Amino acid sequence: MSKENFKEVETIIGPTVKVEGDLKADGNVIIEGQVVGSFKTKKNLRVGEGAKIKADIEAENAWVGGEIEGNMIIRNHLELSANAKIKGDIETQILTIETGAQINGHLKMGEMAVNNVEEITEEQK
Amino acid sequence: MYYYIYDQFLSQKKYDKILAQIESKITDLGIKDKIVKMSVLRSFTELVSEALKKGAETIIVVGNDQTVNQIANLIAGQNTVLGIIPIEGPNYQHLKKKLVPSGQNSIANFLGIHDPLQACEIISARKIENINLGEVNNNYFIHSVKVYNHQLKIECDNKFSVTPLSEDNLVGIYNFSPEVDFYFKSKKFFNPQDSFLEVVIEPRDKKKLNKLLKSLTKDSKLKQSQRVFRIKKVNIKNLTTNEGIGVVDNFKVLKTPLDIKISDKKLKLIVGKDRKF
Repeated sequence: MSKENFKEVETIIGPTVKVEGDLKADGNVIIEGQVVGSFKTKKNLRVGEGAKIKADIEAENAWVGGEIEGNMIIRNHLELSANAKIKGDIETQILTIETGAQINGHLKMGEMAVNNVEEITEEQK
Repeated sequence: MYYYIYDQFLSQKKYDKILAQIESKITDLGIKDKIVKMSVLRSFTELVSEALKKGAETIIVVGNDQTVNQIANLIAGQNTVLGIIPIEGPNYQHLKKKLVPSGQNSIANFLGIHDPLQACEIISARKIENINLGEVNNNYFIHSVKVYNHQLKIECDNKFSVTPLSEDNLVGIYNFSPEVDFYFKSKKFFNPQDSFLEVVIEPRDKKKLNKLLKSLTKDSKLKQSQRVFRIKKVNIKNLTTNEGIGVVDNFKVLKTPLDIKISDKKLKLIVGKDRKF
């Protein structure tokens, strides 16, 4: 995901901050610290290399460099860097994985993921 | 009807000249009505309730941020319009260096009002904007509450909580930021008309502070050093028995726990052309 996508950042959770609970955002979010609970954004998410997340995540696009324990629904493009560690199920349209990234969980991509994501979104509404 | 309320510090002789200039200017502009002065015997509460009883449509505060905050607390939610003629208080130089980097008139500056005589012209032009007010423990604040403590739990909108993990932090709850031009500042953030407050957590450890200061002059690291959340309501509690100190609008000190929210009451303010929102 290009840096252009992060020109306007709505929320930054820095490396010395822990957030617990249900966090919802409308804009781009950068997580460098710790998040426990659930997290949703209508736009893009960037998870820094030092970040530790124990939460279900929903976003439009995501770049992940840290650790995530929870299920991820990424509506468009998910990028996993070499240091990314995912323990949970992933649903996304497009997936890019760098050498060294770890995934432990189920993976749904393309049409299957799209249908599923739509169902979930409908239910939530 | 224009009701001018002078702060008590203006009774000092050194302010005679500027007050004479202001009075002459408002006479020329045809906006001189009633002038009242705060004194040991007459508090702001008395002066403002008297003004409201007499049907003052516009109250003009002659003083600094502290004066503005006190009057705003008394007329919040009323239909009365508030104007500001900014004058620096007696200990300005001392405060300027140590506590308040932007001076004692940061609110006026933010509204595009930079000196007393220009303020008279702005009042005469009477461009009015509604701004949000914040509430902290049932008091109103205009721009910010800053909390200095290293062990806090910040509960936002009753949905999620934020705990700073570094040892020393400055937690700022902003309606708008008259002092620091944050990296995030755009029309969307730190806007006094958006009905949101912004929570900013800045590390104050020496190493991290140096990093922050460096990044202020350069670019990218600042983004990483600050954490910003947009919220409507926040509760700040201590994790230890030590009490934290909250500073409201840069002068009023309150102790934690603090209940802070965006108020449903607004303030009608006379603003200048080059206001920062």
